[in-house]
Amino acid sequence: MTLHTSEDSLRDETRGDWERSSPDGEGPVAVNDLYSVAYDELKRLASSVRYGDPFATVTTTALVNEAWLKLASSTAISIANEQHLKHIVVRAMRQVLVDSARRRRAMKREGMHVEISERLAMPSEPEERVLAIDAALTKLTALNVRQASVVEARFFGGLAVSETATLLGVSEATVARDWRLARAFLSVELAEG
Amino acid sequence: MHIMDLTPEQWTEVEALFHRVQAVPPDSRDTLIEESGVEETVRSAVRRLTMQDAAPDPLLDEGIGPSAARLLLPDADGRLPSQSFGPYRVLEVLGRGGMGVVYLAERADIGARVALKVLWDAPLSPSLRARFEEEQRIISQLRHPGIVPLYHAGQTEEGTPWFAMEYVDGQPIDLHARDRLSFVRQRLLLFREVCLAVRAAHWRLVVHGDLKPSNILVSRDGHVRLLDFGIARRLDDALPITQGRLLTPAYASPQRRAGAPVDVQSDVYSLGVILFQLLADRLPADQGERVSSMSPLRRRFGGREEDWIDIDAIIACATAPDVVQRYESVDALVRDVDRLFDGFPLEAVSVSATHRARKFLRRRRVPLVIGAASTLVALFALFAHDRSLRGARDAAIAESARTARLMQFMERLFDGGGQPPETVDSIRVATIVANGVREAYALTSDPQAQVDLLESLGVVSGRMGRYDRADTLIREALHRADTLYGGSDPRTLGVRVQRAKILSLRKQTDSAERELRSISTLIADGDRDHPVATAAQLALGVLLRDQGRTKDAMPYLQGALMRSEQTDTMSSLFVEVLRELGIAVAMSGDFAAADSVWERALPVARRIFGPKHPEVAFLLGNLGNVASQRGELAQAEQYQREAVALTSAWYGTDHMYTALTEFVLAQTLNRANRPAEARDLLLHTIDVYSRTNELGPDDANTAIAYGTMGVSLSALGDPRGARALHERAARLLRAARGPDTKSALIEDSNIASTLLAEGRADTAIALLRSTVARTSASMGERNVTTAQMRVRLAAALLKVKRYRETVDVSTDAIAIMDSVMGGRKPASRQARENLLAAYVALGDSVSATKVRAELAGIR
Repeated sequence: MTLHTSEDSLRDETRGDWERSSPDGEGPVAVNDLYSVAYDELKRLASSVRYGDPFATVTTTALVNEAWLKLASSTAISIANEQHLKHIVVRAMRQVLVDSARRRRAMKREGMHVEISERLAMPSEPEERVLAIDAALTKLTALNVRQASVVEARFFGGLAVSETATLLGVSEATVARDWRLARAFLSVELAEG
Repeated sequence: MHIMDLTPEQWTEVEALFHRVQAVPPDSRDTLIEESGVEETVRSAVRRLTMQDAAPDPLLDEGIGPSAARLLLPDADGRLPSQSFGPYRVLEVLGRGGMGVVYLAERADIGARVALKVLWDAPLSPSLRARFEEEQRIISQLRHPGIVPLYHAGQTEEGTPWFAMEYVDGQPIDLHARDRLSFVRQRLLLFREVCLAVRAAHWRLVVHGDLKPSNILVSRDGHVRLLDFGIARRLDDALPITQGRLLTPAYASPQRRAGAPVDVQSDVYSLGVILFQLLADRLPADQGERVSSMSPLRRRFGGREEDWIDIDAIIACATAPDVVQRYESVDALVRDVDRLFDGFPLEAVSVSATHRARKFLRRRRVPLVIGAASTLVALFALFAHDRSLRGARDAAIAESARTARLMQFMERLFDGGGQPPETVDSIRVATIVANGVREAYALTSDPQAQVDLLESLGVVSGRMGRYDRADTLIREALHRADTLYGGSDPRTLGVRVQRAKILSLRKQTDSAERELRSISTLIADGDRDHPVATAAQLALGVLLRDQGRTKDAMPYLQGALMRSEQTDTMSSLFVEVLRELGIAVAMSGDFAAADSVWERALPVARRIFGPKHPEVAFLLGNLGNVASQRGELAQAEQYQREAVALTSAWYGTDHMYTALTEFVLAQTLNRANRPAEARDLLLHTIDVYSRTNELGPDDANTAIAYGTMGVSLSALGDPRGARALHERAARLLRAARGPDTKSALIEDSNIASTLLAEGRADTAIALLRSTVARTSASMGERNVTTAQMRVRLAAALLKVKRYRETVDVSTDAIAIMDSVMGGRKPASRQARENLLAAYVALGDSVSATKVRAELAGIR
């Protein structure tokens, strides 16, 4: 049994990878593969939203939840812990955003014109700031993994405090405390470059 | 120490202290940190974190949501959907619009290529889906060769809707025109096709709403296809406009940019911009830019001046910011475009066309022809020579309505009634004339009326700057009059006067002068009192005056005055004679005499034209101008404000005649040392001139307004800005009128003044000396302007303490002024003040006392 059913619209390339690593009816899907499936699914979801209406709000929350539900409802994924799956999706979301930011930065450096709707404009180059946060988050991981996970879930995954608490198996108060400290840390890092 | 250099163990201490610190009130936090007993590295980190904790950070606080859309632009990976859409398989992306993605797709069974539009996020937005389906419906209803046809529509199993249209293998219209069409006619034909397609949509009550070159492709067969009805609207339908769609501002009407829904006239506006772009190969740089003034373009394409003027008029009418002035339909636009091809329409009169013309004429009327342009000149006569004089050309329009038959026609044409006209734009007048010409040629049953009509239309064409057409019409009229009445009949001679005026407008002044002189000899003794005799003399006087031969002109102008005094002092001809004579008198520097001439004309003009007529306004403007020149500023301002009130009531605020009266008022305000008020008026003047002036933004009148604004800026303490304006004005004036005309010389002296203000006295004095010499050479030594140049030179010399030279130059200037103006007039005050200051500095108290006494006498 495979992940893709008739209504599935994962792309051919993705499907190929998937099939190589997960023959029908055989054992659980490797986490790396799951990660790449999540990655592609998020990208597909994001771009399909974006294709339609430039003003449609793309929330990472919605993307993460949709991708997660889709993967979780697939019978092929015999991953025991749904929260683990969500964690993978959140991680993939971070990667999608960071990759997009890198690509946009690269496009800018190549002098390509990227048309941006004015109403979506954010101060000071969001791709630069997202990349800076990603780098700071890597540093935070070296100091405290749980605090970094909170940032990943809340900032990149768009999860609420309660969802994050469930995801990480800690109390909401802990998430709140971790977020406050981590936020201050990121803010210092961003301010000091 | 930098926070990143902490160890995990130190970080644990930071964490603990940080949370303790956050739990206490802000004012006790420092103490808590200092007394925490942990190492400085940790304390410093906590201090830093605590500070940053309070600092807002939009990205961290609002989350990545708002930026995510930007980051996740789908463009970069360019992968294609693998699924099929009905029988179609996607080959490549053609484009992405606000309403989905357009792919090149292939029909699997027969290999035909189509453009496939897919709305990916239909499940996420029911309103988008509704719009998408509306677009599909609209296209299916519009069956026209210029509109891309719909082939097929459906949705995927997931509910993603799509539809297939003809795939147009071609280029956007702007690139096609630029690369392939080297004749104006080809480009106009293509534009016409676009108009017909849009018109077809309008006839089906559909407005496109997003017309721009990228939505208008030219296929390999060379014909246009209109695409993308994604924001099109059915006029009978209340479906709300998709908010998300970005406008392409260059093609969007002001109303659209302000958020108004699309309508027929917003499409008209976009078409006007596209027409400009198709001819110029670029977008207009600003509202009102004229293709006729783009010389490289004109050289490349050739064509007659008048046709380019018509094209500009069409573009101006299509892109008029105000919908009242814009074409009310694409149909109206198409008909004017058609006239560009037709040139001279000689075919039978179409009933609907004349009907429309008359309807129009009922709304817009006479004064535009009878009065205003001629008087425009009068105001400028004090500054200008050649150009100012073109106003005289249409003076005889009212005269030309002399037969009952013609009166009747003119009534139909311009339906007066004494109401202020709506703003007139020349294309609409062109329409009238074109229709009038058709009628004229069709009037074979009434040859007399035909002569009159041809003559009148010739005069109107001349006023519009279409000299070739004017010449043709007048010749036609003359030929018929000759046959009909005979060569020495006053009616025939009247046509010849008009012909001479056209010649003079075409700068064939010698021929014009010969013609006018021979007319005078041909007038039979019994017709000496006929108005044509006056008209001929007047025309000759104006012609000579405008060549700068004021002395030669004077006997003719005075002769014309005597004749009209003897015949009819309640006629427009009498007013005209006084107006033109006044200009000549003012040009010779005798402002007092000019004043009395115009004062005499004023009550007559009020009586025969009505108290609010522009003719009255322009006389007031002239009187104000003279008063201003004579230093009677309060009186000047009163006249000029009245003139502004009259013109703006008659023509509207944004009309060039209104701008003109404002301009002279601004000059008075400058003289009255109220530069800020002057500057504000001038900003409006220049804006209006560059948008509405038939002669384009580089016209001499615009140049003079620039120069006047330079004077305001100088007074406001901005010599640099002032100099830039004066230099621009001088350049434009030389281009428009030739070197060393009065206005260009004045601008040179203004440039010198700004140099002086910046402390570059030597450069300024050298420039002024050269200006004095050139003024004297071109205008004569005994001339007010020559004297005024000396006054400026003297002021510069005084400023650098060269008192001897100041005395010499001032003395010369005062001598000229007193003699030309007859006595010690306020205009000479500045010269005397310079002289006084120089004498005082030189210690010559006797001379100083004398000058002081003269000054006291002036005050």
